Amino acid sequence: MNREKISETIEKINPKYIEEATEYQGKARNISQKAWYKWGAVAACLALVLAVGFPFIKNLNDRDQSSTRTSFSIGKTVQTGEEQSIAAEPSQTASASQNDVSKPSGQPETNHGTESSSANTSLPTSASVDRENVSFYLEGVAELSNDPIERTGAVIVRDYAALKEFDHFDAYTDYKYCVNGNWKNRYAYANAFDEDFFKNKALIVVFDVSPNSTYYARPTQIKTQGTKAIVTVTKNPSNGEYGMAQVTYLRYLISVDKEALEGITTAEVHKA
Amino acid sequence: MDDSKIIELFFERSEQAIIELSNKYGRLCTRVANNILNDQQDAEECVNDAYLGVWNAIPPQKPNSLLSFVCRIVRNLAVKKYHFNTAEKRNSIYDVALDELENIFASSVLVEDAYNVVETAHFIDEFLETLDKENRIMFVRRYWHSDSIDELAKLFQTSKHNISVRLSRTREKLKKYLIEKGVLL
Repeated sequence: MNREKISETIEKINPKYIEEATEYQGKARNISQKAWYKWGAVAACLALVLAVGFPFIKNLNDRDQSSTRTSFSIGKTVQTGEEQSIAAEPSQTASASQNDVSKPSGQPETNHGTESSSANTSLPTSASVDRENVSFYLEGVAELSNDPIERTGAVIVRDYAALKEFDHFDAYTDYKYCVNGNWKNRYAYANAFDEDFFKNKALIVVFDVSPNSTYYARPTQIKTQGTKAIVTVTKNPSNGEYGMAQVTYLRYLISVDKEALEGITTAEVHKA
Repeated sequence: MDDSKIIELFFERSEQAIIELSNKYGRLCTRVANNILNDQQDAEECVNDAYLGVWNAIPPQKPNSLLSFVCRIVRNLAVKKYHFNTAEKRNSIYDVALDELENIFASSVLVEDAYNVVETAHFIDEFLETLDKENRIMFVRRYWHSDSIDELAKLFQTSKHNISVRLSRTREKLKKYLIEKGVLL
């Protein structure tokens, strides 16, 4: 049978079959089934991410709560927010330029605050820390570093130019940020501050270095004691010292009234 | 527009009928023609000729399924054009589909004297009746519409391999059926 006859034969099959095939629109059942597979896979992935990520985040949080070792405080009465201020610490100074990191002196913290009605109140627990005054803090993501030395420090940044020049400023934009409990994208930090911000405010930047999972500095806390705000950081567990190496991990950005920081140098952000 | 309304327009001899027909089924008809001719321009010419064929056929005819009616005209014209154009350039989906069927008939001897094309088609109808709906549609889409394996895979939401295997099995069944009926020796 030649091709023409085969074609002719097929051509003459019952029209009802042609009609049936022509009007067939496909398998809707399988489309929904595929959609189910797709969304099922997405849900499974999400569950896996949560299962793996939750213990990790919880672990970080636990470390935040458990590893306080020493503190920095600000050496003058400063306004950090609507509700709290930072007490003067005039006795402890070590002149240094802005953006330097304080050298912990080992002095015990003292409270000289006089301007706040809440002076001499007891030290609040970490649970009552006013997070509104912690503009930014990072968690969960750390740049891998081979640097075995772990350091923690703090610096005052008074203007936008200084912030931009701040060591590794750009590197921070690579991370996700947690802003008052809300995760922001990697560019949140870079976009969060502008020149207008620094008209009235300054930043206390608390940072870690060498954020290796084994070595990175223990989490910090911010406490208030009367009119004093205490920024708590940790020392290097490997050598027990404070200092600054390469800044690789931002801990906190604390916004304060610029006026309140007048006359205070970075070096006065010191170990309490 | 509903098929019955389009048919009414044909009965009223309104040229709007062609426009509506083209809007509704033009794309499908072009695909059927293109599967056979493997040439977009030829396919479009074929479809236009088919519209004229429909215009001449309705009335007096009043098809139950306008879609099927138009597709059959398109296919007839496309196959004629195909044979007219060339028998050497075998490069369309239609050729591939025909090759597949040819293997059945070439390996056996058709009792041509006893059974003409119409009777053979009747046996194929009977065979199609024995298939489940999905395999039947797949067979017709492949060998009547000349749909590609790829198109069928999308239509049936399965792999191309699966389509090929199922068509191959159906062809084998057809061959056995025709041998049993004495159409093939």
